[in-house]
Amino acid sequence: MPALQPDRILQLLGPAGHCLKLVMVERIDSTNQHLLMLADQGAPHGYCLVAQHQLAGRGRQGRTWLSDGEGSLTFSLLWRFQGGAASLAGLPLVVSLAVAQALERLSVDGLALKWPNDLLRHGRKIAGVLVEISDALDGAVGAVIGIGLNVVLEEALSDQLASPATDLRDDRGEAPARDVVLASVLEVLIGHLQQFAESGFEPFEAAWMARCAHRERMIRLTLPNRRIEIGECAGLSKEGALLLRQNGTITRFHAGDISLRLS
Amino acid sequence: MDLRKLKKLIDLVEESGIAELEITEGEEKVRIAKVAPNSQTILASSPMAYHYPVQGGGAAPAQPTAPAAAAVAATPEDEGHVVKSPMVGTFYRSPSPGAPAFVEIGQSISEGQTLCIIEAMKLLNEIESDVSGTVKRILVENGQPIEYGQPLFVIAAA
Repeated sequence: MPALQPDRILQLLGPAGHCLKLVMVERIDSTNQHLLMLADQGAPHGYCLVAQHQLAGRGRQGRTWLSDGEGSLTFSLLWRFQGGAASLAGLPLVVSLAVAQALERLSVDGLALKWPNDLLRHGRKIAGVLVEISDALDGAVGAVIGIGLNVVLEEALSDQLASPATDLRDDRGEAPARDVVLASVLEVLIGHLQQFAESGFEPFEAAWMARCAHRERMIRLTLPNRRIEIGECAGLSKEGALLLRQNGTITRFHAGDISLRLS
Repeated sequence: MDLRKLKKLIDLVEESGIAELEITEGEEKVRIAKVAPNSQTILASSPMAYHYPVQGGGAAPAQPTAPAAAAVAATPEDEGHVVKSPMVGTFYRSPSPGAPAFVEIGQSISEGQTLCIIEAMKLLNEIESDVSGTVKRILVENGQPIEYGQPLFVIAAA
């Protein structure tokens, strides 16, 4: 795929790009790791680091995000919020919703969200979102929002993946250009981040649940301490926590991995 | 203080959440302490149920004539600088499963050093120490759910 061009991205973004500082790097270990470091050194709100090639993308709990250079879109955005880290819990959900809505604008079909922040296409993973918090400065908290998106996934890479993945290609095998995808994602994301800063997760709940892969379905939730909870997905709390209905009682969960397959 | 009254006091302490009770009546002074050899373990394995030991006489059995002295059980604050969780989430002591913990008890640390990760809904927050010193206690276990403001570490400031 063609190389990313900052000028073209800003042109596509229009007014939404005014609050961004778009920085393109050729090769980098991890955009999130690098931007966290820059954030600690005082990088400005809206600093967006885009990699032509990301070599060692990071996931949570030490997992890696593999990307195959020009077939992937990997970038991180620094957004500073007033108030403490506690108010940011729903942020990863808002980010994955923004990516979904941006892709819908580009006529990508079959998209669904899996709590808390997985974006699926036809049941397979298409994007990864990782939000890391940088140290508070003057009461503000810096969130480094990392997004990895499969635009055209090479088969060789696909074989290495731990979970089934897919990409943005349509029936004819064509995918939108990375410039276009990035501009679309940033445009929707910036609007959402501004609204999230003002009103939290609550205004996004309906749009999120409308795309939820497990709405009103029986799911299995594996908690970080390996305990397993089974119940019916009853929606999300106003902070974005998962609500599980078990024997008529609704319990709220802030962590866990969902499995849609019930054995 | 007669034995019957003493027994009643012992029963009251037994049933209550108080670790220790000291009562002075004139020249007499009685101190009743619950022996809790496992208290450290209980604290480490179930901090969700952990409450600060009651300070002051407020929790003493209602005995108007008995001015209860403060319970002496130590709170984390008494032991050093307490690092608390800024959010609800899951506590991780290491960057990934199987990796060495960020810090261990007894380790000397410097200000800004990462102590743990708190994760909530894939929002990762690396908690850094705001003081230099020595890690005295780790109050929660890896993978455990934690509440906002919950004490995580006690640091003996340098």
